[in-house]
Amino acid sequence: MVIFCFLQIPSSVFSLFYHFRLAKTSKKQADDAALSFILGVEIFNTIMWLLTYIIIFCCQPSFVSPLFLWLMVGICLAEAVAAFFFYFRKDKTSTATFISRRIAKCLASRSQTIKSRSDAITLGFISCLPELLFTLPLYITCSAFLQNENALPRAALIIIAVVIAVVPLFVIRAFFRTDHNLAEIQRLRVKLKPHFRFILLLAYIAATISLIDLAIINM
Amino acid sequence: MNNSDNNTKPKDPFIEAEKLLKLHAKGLGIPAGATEDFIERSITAAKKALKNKTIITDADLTRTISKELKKYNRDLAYIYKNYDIII
Repeated sequence: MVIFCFLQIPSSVFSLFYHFRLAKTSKKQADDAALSFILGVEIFNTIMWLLTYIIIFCCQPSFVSPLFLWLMVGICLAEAVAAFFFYFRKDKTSTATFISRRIAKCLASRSQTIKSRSDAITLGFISCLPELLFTLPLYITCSAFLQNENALPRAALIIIAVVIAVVPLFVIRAFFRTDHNLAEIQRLRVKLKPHFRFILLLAYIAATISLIDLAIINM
Repeated sequence: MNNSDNNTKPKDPFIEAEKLLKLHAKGLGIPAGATEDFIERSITAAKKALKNKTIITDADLTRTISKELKKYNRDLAYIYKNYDIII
């Protein structure tokens, strides 16, 4: 679940979106639009959690089989390597991610032109899509783990997971609200980038170890 | 007819850059009066620096303008230079 905090595309789009909203509207309106964006991210996460959970619940025997779990171990290990080496581009002065420049430009220009709340929600939703390559195995893995929990902790864990994903967005919002500008936030993000990479690597390795543990138990 | 003419008409890169700079400056909370002044100075200086070039790429334009802009406002220069590589 920690991994969701350190994936950067929604944060990047959000910071640009807030910056442009501040340029075009009052601080209060920008703040309202920012909340709509965060709602979009929340909606995406909720849908993904529920969807993967329901799919795994319906096909339980095959999804928690050792073969499936070992497959997920391989995928998580590959994700760990990919997150460390390929998630961020090599440029040390930027927070540019692995997504194609065309998609990045499209997201940047969308964040500049959005006017209504519904558009902000859509942008929040769309900004999570390019990251599915890194998040989909996590949704599946966590949902497989949740099958072993009781109903109440299961619901609580899903709620925590959905909330955790938007913590970085609330942090960026707090920065903007306390009169920090995009340049300061961006410099801080560039400075923290090597740490993000390292945390992502560790978190994916932790997920892999947990999966190995589950696979051994199920064998 | 007019519509298609408008679509094919090439946009002046300096005007586009000026628009984007003004938007960034507003977002950064830089006072409007000062912004107008130093954006104009930076654009003029960039035009001078690039006048001998037959082909001006986006990278040339961004580099030259941000170099000039750095003299007046470091935050604006930083955001203008890194705008494409934030996401």
